[in-house]
Amino acid sequence: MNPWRVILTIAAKDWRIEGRARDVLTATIFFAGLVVMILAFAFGPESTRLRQAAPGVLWVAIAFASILAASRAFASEAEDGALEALLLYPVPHELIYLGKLLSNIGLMLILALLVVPLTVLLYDVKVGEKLLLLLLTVFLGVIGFSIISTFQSSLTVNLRARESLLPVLIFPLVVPVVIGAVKATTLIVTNGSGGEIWGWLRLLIGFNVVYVTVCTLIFPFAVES
Amino acid sequence: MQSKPKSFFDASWITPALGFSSLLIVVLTFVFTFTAQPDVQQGFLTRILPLHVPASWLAYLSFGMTAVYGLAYLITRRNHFDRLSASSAEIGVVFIVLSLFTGALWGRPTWGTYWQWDARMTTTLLMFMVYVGMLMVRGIIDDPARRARVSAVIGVVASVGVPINYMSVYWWNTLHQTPSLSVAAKHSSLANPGILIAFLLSLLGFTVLYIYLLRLRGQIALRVSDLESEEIEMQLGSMKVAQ
Amino acid sequence: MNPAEIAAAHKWDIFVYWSYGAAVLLLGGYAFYLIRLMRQLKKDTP
Repeated sequence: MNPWRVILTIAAKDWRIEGRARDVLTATIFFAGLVVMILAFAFGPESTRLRQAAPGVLWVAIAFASILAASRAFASEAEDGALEALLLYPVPHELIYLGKLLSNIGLMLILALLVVPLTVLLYDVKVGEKLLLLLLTVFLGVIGFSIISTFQSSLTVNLRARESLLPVLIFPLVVPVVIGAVKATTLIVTNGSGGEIWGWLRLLIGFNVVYVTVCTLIFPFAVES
Repeated sequence: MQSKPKSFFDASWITPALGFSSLLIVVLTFVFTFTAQPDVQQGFLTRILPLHVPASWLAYLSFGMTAVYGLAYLITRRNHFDRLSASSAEIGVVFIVLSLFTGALWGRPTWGTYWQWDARMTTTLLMFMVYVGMLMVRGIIDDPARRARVSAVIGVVASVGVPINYMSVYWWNTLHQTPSLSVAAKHSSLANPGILIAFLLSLLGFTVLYIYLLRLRGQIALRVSDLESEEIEMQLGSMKVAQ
Repeated sequence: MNPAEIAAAHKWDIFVYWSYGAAVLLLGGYAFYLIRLMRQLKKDTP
């Protein structure tokens, strides 16, 4: 079977569930929006300070929402033995991980496309002509979060105290993504040099390539029962 | 539960011998360190380095071995490797704490700050958090087979941080971020022969200490797991009696 | 150099002892804890 079709089929299954129930997106978008707004109150009305804080706020909101989404995504899989059924399909388990990853990336991109404009508006950020670079940064950052959070939530599925463990397992690993994405975003909105932005984007690309390889290869061990 | 010594490495005198030799080398290190001439630039503070660098090296070694043993467990499914993997992670956490602490004490006089969010320190702190998380997860899972599998997988994934941590000093230079001070400083401090001997001895002594601690911790883990399975058997037995 | 300058230059030297003290406490404490645990376990599992 064509591996791309397997990946797409698994992702499409998740997206169809999401399209009907809207479990993940409603909760996470609302949550990310709340984070953006609460931090806006915390930083006060002064617009220069808000503008400085905006990149950090944006990525904190996306990171928190990503963890929430990951734990919700595999929660539906854990019900009624759906995960066991999924693993029984005669496809390599690596592809199942990539499928789940693709579905998670899709959802998180939708979330990011709503949270980014919200942050830009509320924090009075000047994006300017570097909009495409900002979108690329968001794209890479979201993928980085998804790689780790999808993997770790597959590892902790069915575990007691999963909700409290998941952040402990995810956050230390995704901090490089947070740093890289925040630095790149800051440089973009402050009109920094292209070379420096590219340096941080390269970090994000390297992170994604390394971790997607490691996680995909080790995933069959993570889900066996 | 203890089986007879199967090979040379199972002999019971090895562990205490390792313990004594590591103690001896570490004491020798102390002697060399505290008799070494002060460095031209750093003064007596150079004496922290024979402690700080080997502690960091040991953290790398422990976490690397955690991944190796974890992978060995996933392939062979022998509980032996799971115990070694977990023991190695625990020892690594101890050494990384020492590395962070001595690094902070060295940084205050040299850089003027205990802590700086530079690439090396940030990634070191993250490694510490990842492995503490791994040990926490081990504490939560009751089923031994699942605990071993999950912890091995975490150990393998987390080990990606080791080369990143090591290379961070070089990579971040190319990105024109905070320049690394530790590498340059290390080279300048080793110009002194006394401190160089102390440094090399310390590397050796800490490595022997690691092997000793790993053996000891592994033997403890074996006994604890024996006790656990005995307890389960006793519970099963009493259930049968009750029926 | 006057005594005040020398004292200022050696202001942080105490950190060397702190470092080694921490190392002895941490590693020694950990090893001691393990050895004691082993003794106890040996008593419990003959």
